[in-house]
Amino acid sequence: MPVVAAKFDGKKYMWDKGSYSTEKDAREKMDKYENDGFEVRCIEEEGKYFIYSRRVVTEIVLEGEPPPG
Amino acid sequence: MKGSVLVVGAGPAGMRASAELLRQGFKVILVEEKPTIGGKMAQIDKMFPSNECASCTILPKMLELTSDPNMVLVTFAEVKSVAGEAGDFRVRVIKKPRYVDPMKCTACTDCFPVCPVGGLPMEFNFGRGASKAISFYSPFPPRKALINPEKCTYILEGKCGDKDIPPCVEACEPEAIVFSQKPGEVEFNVGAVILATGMQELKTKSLERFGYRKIPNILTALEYERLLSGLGPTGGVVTRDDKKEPQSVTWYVLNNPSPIGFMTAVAEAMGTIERNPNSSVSILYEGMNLIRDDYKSFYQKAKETEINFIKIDSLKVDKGINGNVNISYSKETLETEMLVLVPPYIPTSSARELAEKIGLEPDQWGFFSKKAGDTHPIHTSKEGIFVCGSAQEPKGIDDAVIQACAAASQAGALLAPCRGKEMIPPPEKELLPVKPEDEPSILTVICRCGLNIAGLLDIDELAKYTESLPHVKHVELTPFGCDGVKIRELLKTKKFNRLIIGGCSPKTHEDLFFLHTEMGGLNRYLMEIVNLRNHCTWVHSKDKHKATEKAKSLMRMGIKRTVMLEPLEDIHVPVTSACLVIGGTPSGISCALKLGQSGMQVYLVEKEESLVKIKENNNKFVKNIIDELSRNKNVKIYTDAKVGRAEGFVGNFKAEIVKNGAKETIDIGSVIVATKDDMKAESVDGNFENDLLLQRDEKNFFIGMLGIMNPLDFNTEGVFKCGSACNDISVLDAIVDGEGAASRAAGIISRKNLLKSPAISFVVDANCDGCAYCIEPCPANAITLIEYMQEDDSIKKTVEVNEAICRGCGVCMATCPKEGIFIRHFKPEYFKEMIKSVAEVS
Repeated sequence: MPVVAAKFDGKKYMWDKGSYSTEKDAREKMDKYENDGFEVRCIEEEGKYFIYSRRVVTEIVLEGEPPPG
Repeated sequence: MKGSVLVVGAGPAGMRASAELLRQGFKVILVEEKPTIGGKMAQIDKMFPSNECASCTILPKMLELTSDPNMVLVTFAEVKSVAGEAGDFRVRVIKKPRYVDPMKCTACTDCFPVCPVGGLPMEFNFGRGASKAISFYSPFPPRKALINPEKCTYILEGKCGDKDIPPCVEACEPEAIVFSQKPGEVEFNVGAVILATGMQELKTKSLERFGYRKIPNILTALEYERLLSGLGPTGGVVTRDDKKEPQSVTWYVLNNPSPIGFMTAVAEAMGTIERNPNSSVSILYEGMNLIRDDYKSFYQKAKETEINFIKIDSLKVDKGINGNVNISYSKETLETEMLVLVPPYIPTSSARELAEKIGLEPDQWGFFSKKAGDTHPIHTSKEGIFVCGSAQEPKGIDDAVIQACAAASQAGALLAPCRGKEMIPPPEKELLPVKPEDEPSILTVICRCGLNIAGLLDIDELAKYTESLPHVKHVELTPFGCDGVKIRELLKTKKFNRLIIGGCSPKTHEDLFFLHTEMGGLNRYLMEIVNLRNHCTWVHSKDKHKATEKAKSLMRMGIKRTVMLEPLEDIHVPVTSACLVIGGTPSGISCALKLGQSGMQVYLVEKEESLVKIKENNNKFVKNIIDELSRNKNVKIYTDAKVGRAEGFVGNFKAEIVKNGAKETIDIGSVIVATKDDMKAESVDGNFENDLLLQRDEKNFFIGMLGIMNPLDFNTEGVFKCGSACNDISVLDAIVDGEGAASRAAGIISRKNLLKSPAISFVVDANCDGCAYCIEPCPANAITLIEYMQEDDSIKKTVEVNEAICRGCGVCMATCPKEGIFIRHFKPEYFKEMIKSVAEVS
């Protein structure tokens, strides 16, 4: 099981929770993410491929209940 | 040229100059004539005008300094000669015999009780207190025994009582006693010399006119300090020669051009009232010469107490009844139970001898001479030899610290090509491997701290209670844990994987205890400090039972936390070797020049069209500095310019320089503010003062870090202030201030890397859902919101922390509603367990 968050070139990327059997499958998914404006990275572990992505949010909207107090 | 510096005198100025030079990459040889370091600061109780405890402040600094591998400390020694020239001096130093090998002495004190020669007056306490012929000179480092050759019967007669082998030799397990020791001579080759030989009270015959040494219960201000000090012969209880606690104390401040004497009297009088609010306290003075605003405020604060301030023209002193002293002045009479004389201060006698030995003619007051026409306070008549602190003229500790920094800056600029060449790297850490799941085995060290702790709570009861707590394997009661001896010795047994110290404040002592912990072989983040002094004995000084009960609760809480601590690794951050100096003032230009001469890139920003237009330009020193600046290729001058936004952290700032509407962004490792003028470029987004968290007082001066030892520092690490940014001061003092600030910055930007604490934010990705409540409150702008893809093409959010920028303040942890972010070393579960431990008992 890969780590949920990983650092590449000093930047934090998050795992998409998927596991891809071939490099081709992973590449297809990565292209899709990239087309949506995400930076992507891929690692291979024991023959499986895992994809990490990130995109900086520039317009910050607070979500959910605020902290108490 | 050599990359090392000789510092003569280990008082606050000499110690600070040494510390600054070490930070800048120069080896230091520190020579002190007394057997221990600290100078007068080690002898006084509180420092004015901040009222900080002097020994609590200086002791950690002493221990940090003496633990530095690039520091050669030669105590109980005097400089015999200094030959050569700037960059290459040959120094001969004579070491007096201690008759104890300091390399072997473990400070166990086993030799003291067996010595038959006792009751000897203690020099450090001006004859008060009693010691054996073998003893410590003072409670301060280096804690190594020494033998008084004028009193030791074995040295005088060849026999100790009826024994051929002295009992001290038999008691000394490490065989440290060496009666054959002779004075030794050592030679050092250094590039520069800093004289920090301090001052002393003028105790001439004239003091006898006021009954000194003739009438009982008349003493000098420095002698009185030893009675006020918790580490003094009476443990901080003021007593007369007949052991009675005086109910009335009077100070007489002899006429003196320096305000230091008057301020000393005020501080001592306040300390006396603090101990005994019912005592009658008077200060008789001829003049006060308070030139500083903070001195005036301190005096005003004192006037609000019960102290009587009486201005007089002359004084007559007579012996009274019952050991009292009768004082007559201006047709008035006053009977007092104790009289404290505050004489003028003069250079130390050893400084005058040293001046002759090294060819520096003393001036009419006995201070080190200068070249004709050179009034720069730090200069002497010899190039490469500098003077600082009260060796230059009597001054308060904060001013001495500024001069020490300036002297270090001068030496650093002179020897810049040899920076780092004589430094040895710190030894490799060999730390006990500790895993979070390992069974905790806690070493507890409780400090007596003189009467500071042991005198105000039941320390034996606390030790017994602590021993009963889970995971505590050993409790050690020690006079001063901060000397590190017991901590290192016990940790080296490798029986313990956690350490808890019951002692002083982490604010002043954490770095020191970190050092001892790692020298004992334990990761520093497996150590916890319980502040028994400030939180128990100081605030509950009048209720021993409550102080003890609170101490038990705090120890219980501390142990709960200690059990959960995890080893952490420091973060290495690269440093930008450049500095932004804001303000082309005398302090700004002197600062820029010293940094430029030290080989560092400087950006100097001035709002006037030209440096020659600054109002102090008619000053000879200012003119020379402006001329030299124009020739120094390391200094880039921006006139008719201001400073825009700034961001970053120590070693790595970015700032905007705004000139004619155009912005240039520069990378710098440090920032120095050298003017109180508004240097902010107009911007709707913000300004550098807010960005760097700089604050001003009601007179528009910048507010610096608290503490008398930090006169040039802001609370924002890596940002410093000097000259007219802090105060209205003379051009010469401003120049010294600027040079001092240059040293503070050089200590950062001369390094390749800085160590950063790992106690910073950590995101728990399982809990963080990117709600973004932590982002705006972060004062360092260290948190970024990011989105990421899920396999099912949904988008989730989380946050990313820039570890280099994060200050570990904990604001994010406090705002997060989901426990999605915490500060390493301060996890929420630590606090939960600590609070639970209090609730369980109550």
